[in-house]
Amino acid sequence: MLATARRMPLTIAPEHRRRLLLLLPAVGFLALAFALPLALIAIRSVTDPEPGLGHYVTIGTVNVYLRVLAATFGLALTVTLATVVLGYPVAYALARSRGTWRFLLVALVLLPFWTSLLVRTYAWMVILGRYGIVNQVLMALGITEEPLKLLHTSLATHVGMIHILLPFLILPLWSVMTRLDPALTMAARSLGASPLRAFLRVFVPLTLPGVMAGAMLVFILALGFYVTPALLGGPADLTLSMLISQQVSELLAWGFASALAVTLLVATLAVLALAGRFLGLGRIWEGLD
Amino acid sequence: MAAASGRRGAPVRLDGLRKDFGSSVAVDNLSLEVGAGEFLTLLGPSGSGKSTTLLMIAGFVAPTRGEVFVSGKPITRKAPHERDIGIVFQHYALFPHLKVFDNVAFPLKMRQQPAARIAERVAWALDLVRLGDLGSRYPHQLSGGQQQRVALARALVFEPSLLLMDEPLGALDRRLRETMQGELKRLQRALDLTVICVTHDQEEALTLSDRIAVMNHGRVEQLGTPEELYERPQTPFVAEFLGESNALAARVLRRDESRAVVRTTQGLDMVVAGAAPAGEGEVRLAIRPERIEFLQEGEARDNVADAKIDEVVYLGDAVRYLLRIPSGETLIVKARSVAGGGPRMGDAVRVGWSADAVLVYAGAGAASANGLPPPPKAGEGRGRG
Ligand SMILES: Nc1ncnc2c1ncn2[C@@H]1O[C@H](COP(=O)(O)OP(=O)(O)O)[C@@H](O)[C@H]1O
Ligand SMILES: [Mg+2]
Repeated sequence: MLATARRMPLTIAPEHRRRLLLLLPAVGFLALAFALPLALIAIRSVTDPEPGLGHYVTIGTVNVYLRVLAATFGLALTVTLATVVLGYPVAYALARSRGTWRFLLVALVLLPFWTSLLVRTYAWMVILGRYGIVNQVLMALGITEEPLKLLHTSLATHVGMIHILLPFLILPLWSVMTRLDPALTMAARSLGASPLRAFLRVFVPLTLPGVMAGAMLVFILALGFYVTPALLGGPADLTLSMLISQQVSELLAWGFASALAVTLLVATLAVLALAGRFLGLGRIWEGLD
Repeated sequence: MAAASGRRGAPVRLDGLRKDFGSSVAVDNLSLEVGAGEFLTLLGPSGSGKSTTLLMIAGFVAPTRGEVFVSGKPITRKAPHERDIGIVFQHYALFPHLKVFDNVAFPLKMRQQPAARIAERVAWALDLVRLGDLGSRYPHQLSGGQQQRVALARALVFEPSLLLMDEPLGALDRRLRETMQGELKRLQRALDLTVICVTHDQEEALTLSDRIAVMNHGRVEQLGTPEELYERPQTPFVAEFLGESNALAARVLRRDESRAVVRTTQGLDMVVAGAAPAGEGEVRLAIRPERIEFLQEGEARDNVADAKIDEVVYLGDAVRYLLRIPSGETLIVKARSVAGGGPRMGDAVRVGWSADAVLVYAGAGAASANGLPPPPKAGEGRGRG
């Protein structure tokens, strides 16, 4: 909550230092499985095929790469905004519901969440396909004669990603909403606020940290999305992760792919840092716990 | 202190209020009147229906039956924001994203008051609670006591016809609670507020209230001034809940017009004043611990017993003794503490109490028909929450 946004002290009392040893296995695992490969990628990006910053110069100067970078961020941004608009009411309904309703709503949010991403992406291919359910309904209603091209479009990418990422917004937001003291909206009502004004003046501002937390999570995940845009999108909807995959699997350009990966990582960290600076990272973490 | 604009609190009437939650009855046929400018407390153990009653008055819980009147007009079908009732919540419910000034200005903004008027009223309300210079702080930058005052200012700034408080001082430490009790009483008198306050703290209820309604199982067990309730509790529950009481079960042995002799289940005989309830039946007795005295050689009372001191608890201004009498009963006795003196643990003493110190209630059968639980062991009646 806003009221408790404080920084934790980073110094550790000497008597607690020995307990830090308990962190060793986790730190070791992360170092081996994450930090080391990352370092190797970073090194490769400036050594393969020859030493130098050539790859980065290419990325920074060749129009196509900048466009893909911008498109990737644009896609992530639209998807994030859409999940906020769609997810907020769902989280609200979840927070307000009791008993059977709550159970049903939670199931509706969690079941897709627990289903493999690949399965859900294929499901969308079936739904949006030439003779999928959407086109059949549209034709049955006489809205269109010919099946529309829905699959392999930017629309399909958006729909698929929004669907897959929605729970990442809803769940942290729901947690923030249920932790909000109901007396706060009651106080607003008793002080003369209509239900709508109590919602807009008190409930929404106080659940914004949850929105920020969820949106941040969705945005960062969306930046690295690969499977869904690759399967649902058209040839024009190239994202950075698809570009990386292309470089590796089709052109075997490991060095350039590494440079692209580092670029994506740095851009993501930059967004996080900006968000942390302007929104307060502490609040975002608080929204997540 | 700046003057209020002359509006005083309104009279309130609850008429047959009832609330069912599924098959359980939270509030049962509750009727009472609160005068304009009166401080009424709903006092009762946890789960007795106090908060539900308050929420029905405020409009957050729809009564199953019954009506709430303010100034003679029914408000039962009005939405909470149309009721003109100020509420102080237990944990204050200050808006954490708004500064103190904006918290207090909130009800005025909701009423579309002009900015100049808002500034003036907020200043008035903050002065009222002696927080004049803290308007630009956020709630989390304030101490508990200060937050409590902001909540009060916010609930008073729009001069509501009625102020509701749910355990308003429950979250404060004892010292602060006493100060705030004084302030609250001062404000209520100065502004002529009608207040309905909920608490399970009997001391708070006794200090603040003009009248207290003792609630149990969703009903008002007794309604009266603090003195009436303490001196003449009408049911064993009230005797137990308000203050401490020695509860004993007994049987009437014989009676005349002004006195009766009863025998407790353990076999202690005592004289009680007033006509005991008619019939040969069972009765319940309650004796306040401070009405039992230690007797010197040769001193006499209506009732006298030899006893041994089992336990001594020093309370500062008083000492609480646990006595065992030969018939087997334990009695709690409370006496003013005397420097360096007083009986000690293990001492054999003689105690006595007058006939009119014994409160007599119709017996166990009649009491359970009233929906009363069996009397708790003496001393348990307090501080339940
Ligand atoms: N929303 C509710 N749903 C079901 N039962 C409730 C609800 N609110 C209160 N109750 C029940 O009603 C009774 C009275 O509760 P309450 O008014 O909160 O008592 P108090 O404030 O005196 O502790 C309790 O038994 C409680 O469990
Ligand atoms: Mg309560």
